[in-house]
Amino acid sequence: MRVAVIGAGVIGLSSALCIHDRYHSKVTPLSIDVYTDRFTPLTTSDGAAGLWQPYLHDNGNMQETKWNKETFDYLLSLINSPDSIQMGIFTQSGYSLFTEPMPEPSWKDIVLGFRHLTPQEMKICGWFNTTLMIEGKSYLPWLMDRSVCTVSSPSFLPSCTKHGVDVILNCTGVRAGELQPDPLLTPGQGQILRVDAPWLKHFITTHNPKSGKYCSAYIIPGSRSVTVGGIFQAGNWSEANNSEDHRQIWEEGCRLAPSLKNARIMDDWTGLRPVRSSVRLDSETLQLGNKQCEVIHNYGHGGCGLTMHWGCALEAANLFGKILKKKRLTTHSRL
Amino acid sequence: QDKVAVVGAGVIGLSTAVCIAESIPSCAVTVLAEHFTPDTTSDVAAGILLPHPFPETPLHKQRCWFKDTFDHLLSICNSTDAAEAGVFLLSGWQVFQETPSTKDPYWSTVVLGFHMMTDAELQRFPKYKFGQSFTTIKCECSKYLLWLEKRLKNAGGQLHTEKITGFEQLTSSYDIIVNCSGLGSRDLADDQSLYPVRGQILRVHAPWLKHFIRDGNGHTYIFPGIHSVTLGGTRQKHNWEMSVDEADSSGIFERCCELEPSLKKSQVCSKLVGLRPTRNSLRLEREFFVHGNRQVPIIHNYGHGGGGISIHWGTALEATQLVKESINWRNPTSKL
Repeated sequence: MRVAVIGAGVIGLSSALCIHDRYHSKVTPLSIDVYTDRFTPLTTSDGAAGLWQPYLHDNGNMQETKWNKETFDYLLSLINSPDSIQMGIFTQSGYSLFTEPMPEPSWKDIVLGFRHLTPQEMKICGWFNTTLMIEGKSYLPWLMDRSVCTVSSPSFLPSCTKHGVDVILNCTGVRAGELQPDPLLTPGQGQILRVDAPWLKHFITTHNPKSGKYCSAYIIPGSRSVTVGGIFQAGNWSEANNSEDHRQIWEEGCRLAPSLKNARIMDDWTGLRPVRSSVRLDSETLQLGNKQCEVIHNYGHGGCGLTMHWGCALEAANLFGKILKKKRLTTHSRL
Repeated sequence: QDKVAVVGAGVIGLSTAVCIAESIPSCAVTVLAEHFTPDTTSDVAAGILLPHPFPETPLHKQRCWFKDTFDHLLSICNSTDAAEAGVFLLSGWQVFQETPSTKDPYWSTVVLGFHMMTDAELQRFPKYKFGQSFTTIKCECSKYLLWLEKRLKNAGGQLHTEKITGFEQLTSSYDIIVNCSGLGSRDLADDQSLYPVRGQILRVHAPWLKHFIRDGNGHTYIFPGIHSVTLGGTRQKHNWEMSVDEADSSGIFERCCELEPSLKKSQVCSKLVGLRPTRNSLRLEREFFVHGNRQVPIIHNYGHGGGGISIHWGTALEATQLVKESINWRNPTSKL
């Protein structure tokens, strides 16, 4: 069975790994090849700070809440394992600040030690909790090492008809529309600054319901630098850094943490969050020429790709299993 | 002008000198010490604000000193000076293998967000039954002492490298002496009740660690700093040995790795020893030193043990108050 995964961000690589781990002994041979024009450290997943934190409101999307939880629990189970540092996983505590009281989030019992801020701590409303960090720059190379797959440019992607690719995993993120138009998918452009400020040991995220998601300043310390951000421009495809956004990020960041003022700015980076009203995680059969090809779509994770990747990978593996059953290819199905 | 000599340039000496220089403009302050940063006991300390118990000092005083220090440092944390001063917030956990008798210590209302660890939080520490989670402050003396020196100079103070072996060396040139000589007071103030508690630490490179973890018994702790993580420790009473002991190093490393397995991947950058200047109660009081025809007030401020950084500003304020009173005594306003 030949599987082609398109996209080598956290979604593509983790889905590939999950499917490989679950099925390589049940389906032989199982070859999984990843096709991409960008891989670590140049993917969207690499630029993200890597803070595990879903949006404040789940909009009743119980499935996404489930995927968030599965990801957190999975990463937490690995925190004391010998691989944790190589994977880029560690704990960090911090603050979510609001201008007015907010209803408690769906993830309050998923994270550790969730509590409201005491009057001593902040003069505004907010929460404190311990969560996990998952840094793409470490995690993606780790995933690539573990997957038994090759990574190559999509121009080598064989068509289903010619070379017999049986299943395509579409993990193309923000550019999924190039493969199949999707009016619900749009870029959520965001610039960040990476700053040398190793005395900062807490994340601080702010939320302004009037300006929307990610439009409000945030500071997220990592293992190598501190990410300062707060830009979200829907529909903007530009990946160029701009000085106006830089100035806004820096001013708001320094207001949030005055100690930043004397920190050294290392660089800027701009990424495109693959924003969609809900994650597209489903399968369909496509007629390509005279052959049928199964496609599993797994894209549209917005600013929550790292936060929900493992739950989605598990679901992609479930969908893969259903395809195998349909084709009666698992050894279990032999009478 | 009243000439004040402050003996000692660790966190106690420098903070007391700054406090005096900034709040009593009529004083000309000079710090005299054999050792300055980075060679003081304060430089070895991790600098986490967590009080050290003084068995014979009333609890309300200990709480007051701690709170004064915490509040003072908290305002620095939130200012543009924080990075230069080496002061920042740090959250983490204090874990106990046996449930402690005091679940709500007196300092629990001074630190931020103090609460009992949840079962989910304790799961990462399988050998521990009980824990406290809170946010406190780390005050790194390698930066803080330099910042205090700068503040002192800005307030017109001076610093001299000079070992003081007897107060009589100072009585002719100074009107008031403030003794912040830590363990040196054993000889300088002839105080045999003062003794060292030897502490060895390792500094490792582990930039992914963002929380402190301390075993409630005080023997094992992990304190992330700006550029390295301090692993400790030892509490060897009456041990004056300043050189690194390799058996202590391996013991510390093993115990810390048990608490935090990811440390196995860390690299050791340095190993250091400090002698905590320990006493059953802090000596913070005035005495009069007579030399020839001079009667010079000496304000003692020493014996902070393992809690120097935790209470330094509180004791500096109190010592400053004693200096003020000594000035009034020396120069009483004449009543007609």
